Amino acid sequence: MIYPPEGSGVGKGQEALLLSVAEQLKQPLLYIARSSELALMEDELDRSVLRDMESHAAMALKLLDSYILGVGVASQQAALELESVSLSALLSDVAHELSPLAKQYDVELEVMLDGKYGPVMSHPQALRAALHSLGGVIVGLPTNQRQTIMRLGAHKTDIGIVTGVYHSSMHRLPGVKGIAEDPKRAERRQPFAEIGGGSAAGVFVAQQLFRCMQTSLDLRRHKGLQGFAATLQPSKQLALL
Amino acid sequence: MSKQLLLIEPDRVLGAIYARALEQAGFEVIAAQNAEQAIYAADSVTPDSIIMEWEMPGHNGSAFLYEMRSHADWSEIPVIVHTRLQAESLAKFEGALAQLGVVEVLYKSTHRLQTLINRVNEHLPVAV
Repeated sequence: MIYPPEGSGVGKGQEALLLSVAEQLKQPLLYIARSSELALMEDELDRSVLRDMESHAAMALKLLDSYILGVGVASQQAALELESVSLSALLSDVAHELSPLAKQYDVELEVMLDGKYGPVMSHPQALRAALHSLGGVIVGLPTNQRQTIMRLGAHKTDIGIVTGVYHSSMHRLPGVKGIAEDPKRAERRQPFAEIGGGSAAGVFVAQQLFRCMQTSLDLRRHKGLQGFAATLQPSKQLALL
Repeated sequence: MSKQLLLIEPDRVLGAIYARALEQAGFEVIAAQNAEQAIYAADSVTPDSIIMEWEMPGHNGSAFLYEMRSHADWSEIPVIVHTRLQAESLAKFEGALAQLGVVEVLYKSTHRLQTLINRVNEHLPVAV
């Protein structure tokens, strides 16, 4: 368990992040509270409602775990120790975990690895948590499209392997060129109001985790979709391609 | 004939729950996720009441209500704000809420589905 050191107080950034996480947690809690109320009003129990409630509870718990991981590492003021990680396996796992939520929002979930490359240098637990946190926010993006796509993607660039979560309605973030360019957003109650019903805490939790992995989160494009992504360095370990 | 409600809820999954509860209470629900979709609906339908989240993607509730009230057909429709915000966050909009014909503010964290249904019924215009 993490305790702030006595007398140190909580930094302004951490306070804003904590508020943002608390605000974000309202969404799954509201879903669970109102779904159970609705189920009690109905004569027959719809088991799919129970499944949906379970996935919202799981999402809330994962957001809390990710937040605790990020705060824990940040409080030690040390970067995470990076190791060789297979992106294809990790992205597929995260997609699998996000699929119940994507189904509820009627979002088609895809994994796209563009080009051939080996493992990347990262921290598997933190990377998984960061991508999951991003996916949990982006999946609920309001959309007018008939077919909505959320993509967990990776592609090779001159400076490394760009890995992130993209959405077909992400263009609803006009004029935002990068989180780093607008740090005051994080201090607002709903810094990404364009995203929809929450505080988008998952974006800031992911940002903190990527910082702990010595990289940063930015708005990026990937094959026609916009999203949040970070650049990871290729591992020098030989990969079996 | 059932009364028509325009429900503006940015979160699609949460919106589906509110819509289902209101439909079971006998209303016909037109769902919108943002102000743009809601204004678009104004071309084809005049709802009996509007239930709306104050924090919407791209707009806040007052921008939407000013736009909505400028349509003659929509100028008298009762509006219930049903929000995830807390009372102190809405305090600065108190004047606008009254001026724009908001008849009730309900908080999603504390007000249950049945309360929402009851309040909608209370505020529906009485047929002459």
